[in-house]
Amino acid sequence: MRIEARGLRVSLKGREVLRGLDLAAEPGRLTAIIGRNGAGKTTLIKVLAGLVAPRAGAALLDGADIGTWQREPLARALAYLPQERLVHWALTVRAVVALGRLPYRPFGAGESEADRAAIDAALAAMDAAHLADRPVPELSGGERARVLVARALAQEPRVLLADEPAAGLDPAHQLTLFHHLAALAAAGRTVVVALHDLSLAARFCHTIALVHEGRTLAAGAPPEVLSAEHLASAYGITARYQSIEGVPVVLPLDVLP
Amino acid sequence: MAAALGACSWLLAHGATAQADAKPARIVSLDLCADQLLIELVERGRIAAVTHLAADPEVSAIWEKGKGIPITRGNAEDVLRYKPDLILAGPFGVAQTVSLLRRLQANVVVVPLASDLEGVRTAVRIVATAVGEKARGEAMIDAFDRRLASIAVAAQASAPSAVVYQVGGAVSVAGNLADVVLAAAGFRNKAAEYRLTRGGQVPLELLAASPPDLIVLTSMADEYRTVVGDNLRHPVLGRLRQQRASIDVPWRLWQCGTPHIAAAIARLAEARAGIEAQRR
Amino acid sequence: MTTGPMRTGVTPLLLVGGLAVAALAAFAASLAIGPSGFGLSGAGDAAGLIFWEIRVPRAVLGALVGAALGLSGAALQGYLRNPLAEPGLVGISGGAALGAVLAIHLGLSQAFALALPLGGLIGAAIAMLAVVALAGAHGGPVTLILAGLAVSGIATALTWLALNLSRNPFASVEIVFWLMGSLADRSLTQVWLAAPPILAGLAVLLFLGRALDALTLGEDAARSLGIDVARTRLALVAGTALAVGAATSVTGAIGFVGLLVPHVLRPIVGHRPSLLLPASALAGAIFLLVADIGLRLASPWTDLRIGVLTALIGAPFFVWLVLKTRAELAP
Repeated sequence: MRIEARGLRVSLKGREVLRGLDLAAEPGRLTAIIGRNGAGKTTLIKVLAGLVAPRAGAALLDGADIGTWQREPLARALAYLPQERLVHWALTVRAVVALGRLPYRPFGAGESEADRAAIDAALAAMDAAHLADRPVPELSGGERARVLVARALAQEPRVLLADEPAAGLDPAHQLTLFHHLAALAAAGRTVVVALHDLSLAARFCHTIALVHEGRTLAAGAPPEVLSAEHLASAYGITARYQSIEGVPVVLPLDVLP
Repeated sequence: MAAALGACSWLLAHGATAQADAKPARIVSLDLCADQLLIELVERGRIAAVTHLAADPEVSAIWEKGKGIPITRGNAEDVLRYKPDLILAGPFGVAQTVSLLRRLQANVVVVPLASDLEGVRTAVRIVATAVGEKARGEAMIDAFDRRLASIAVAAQASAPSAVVYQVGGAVSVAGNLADVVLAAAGFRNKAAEYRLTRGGQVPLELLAASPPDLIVLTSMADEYRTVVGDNLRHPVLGRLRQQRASIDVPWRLWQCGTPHIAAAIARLAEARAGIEAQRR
Repeated sequence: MTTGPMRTGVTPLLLVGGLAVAALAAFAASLAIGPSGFGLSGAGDAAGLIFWEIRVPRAVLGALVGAALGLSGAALQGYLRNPLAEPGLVGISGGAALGAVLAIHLGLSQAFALALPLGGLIGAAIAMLAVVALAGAHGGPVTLILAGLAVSGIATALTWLALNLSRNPFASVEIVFWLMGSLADRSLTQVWLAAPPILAGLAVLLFLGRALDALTLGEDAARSLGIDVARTRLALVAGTALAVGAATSVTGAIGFVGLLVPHVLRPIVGHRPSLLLPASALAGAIFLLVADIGLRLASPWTDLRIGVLTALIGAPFFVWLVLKTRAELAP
């Protein structure tokens, strides 16, 4: 399913955060949204998830304005992974991941075979199966992050919107996560990820959208978007874009005056 | 403030000599029971102020006579502005005011609580003496005694039982005036036989399990329509009243130990006669 | 809710079933025990009268009110994501009491008997909305308690004012009833008045399980899981107003049940809000019934109101909870 933004204008608390932003994320691709702090990445993701209504413009899911989607089909089609890793109660890991199956379980229904299978698969994908019976407060930050991704995966969505899913993960788990997200995309899903790590974006994402001052400054393949010019305008830094052993790396060098 | 100072200084000058004079002419009463005795013993002109309860039909047996008399709220400053030469107070609740007034050399007479028939006579005598109307006081006591005699009750072993049942399940505990009134009318106070709570209340269930021959209610007025009166509206009580004898004796007749309790005793005696007639 | 066993090895079915059995036992015990101990006193007719008109209303109200308080506490805690929330502390019971007092003293309940639970309902709803407005949906535990104190304080003051203005000579006795609750001498009339709205409120609140589970992940994630948070909030207000409003209007404000019961059960249900709801309803009923039985047996030696007993048990628990929360919040 294609998800896109057309001319989005969004104001939060009186401040205009998105000023006519355009974006398109295709199925089968891993799309990254990058930009400096406060550029509007989180707001953009929320609009795409249907959580924030734009003042002008539209977010479209599979060609239809997201505001016209019914709640239940939308929940089955799209999974949103927030930046804040909230788990208010001390549920077990398995119970948290099982929450991802709520859109498939009408009121009062117990867990079906399909539900169990999805939960197990999600746990396995995030290397969290061995944590299944542990209460969430006992987990480390990184383990908790993986569990929450597993929750989103259990939803078996066509579109996955993740806000900084790799923040706080150790390098091994960062790589594993992105390998898995890339595999998801390869299997035909639309995966959109907001992140700060430019190297990860360059390495794994087919498309990068660079958001600056409420608009898309550049969108396209990593080498185009991560040009010195763009990085200077958007981040105010000089950086080196390079390939090491075939893997792209972006190295921030210095802050521009 | 100036008025209060003026009143105080006047009191200090005149208070001590007041007793030497003849009957007090500006009497203030701070207690409902004393109010009622005062109003019946003394002419209007000599009463400076009484409590607001004196004209309240709920609690004052002589509420009609109590209308139109100036009211005091009971604190010392308010009392003093009437420049009283006699202050009648009850035994409870006004201790601070009384001690303050006494320190200011006011003439304060405390009227004791009457908890039995002799106590009623004592209270009448104390008030009558204080206001200088001994003769009228004795006349009042004589009338009271005659009325009691006319009720002519002989103590019997097989006296019927009665219970005064009030708001919240409160009953006529032994040693109170209500208990004395029941006995004077020839009833056995059944309250003693129930397992009462510490507050002197009987759970409705116990009352229903072993009801008295006569259930005495005390006239619930409109204000008691609130939850505190819920037990008085309970269907079980209604059923008991259908099955047994019950009577409504207004509370104002026995709130205070004045000779008006004779009216209550008379009504109860009538009820007893009715019960005994039915037994035969 | 997941149907597998929880950490403690207890399946949801076993837990709810066990609590239901215990609740029935407590109900039966309440019917069987009176001020003179076990069994019915009085002969034939009198015994029947006592059973149907005194024991049954008391037991039914004890169960319903306990369930209402336990369930609304669990629902409030689930929605507000705050373990310190409960209808008494948060001022809802106070508002309900004020509504009921006004219904009585303005003469409305004389004209129209249902005005009494309706007054409690409206009072509870207004209090709830006031607290949510003051504390905000994102208020922390402290903000919530402060807002609850404010609402509770205002409600109590206005209740006192209403009683004072009505020249009721029993004002002080009456306010004790409203502030401390009582199950004594309740009749079937009160059962007919209060039971339908309480049952309706219980039903509405029990349906919130799915939404509360999703809210564990925060409001945004819950919405993206298909939960209508605005409707959940509305259902919470309506359900609590119905259940707590009607309950308070016939028994006065009884506090701490909604705080204690969910908290004790939470580890047993694996911290799942959805399972906590029916469990808290049943356990709340058990708690109140047992407390009431205890009071009846102790009645010759003490005049305690039921709200005092729940406060004696609940307030120290609340203090401990506050300390624990503070320790968790502190860096």
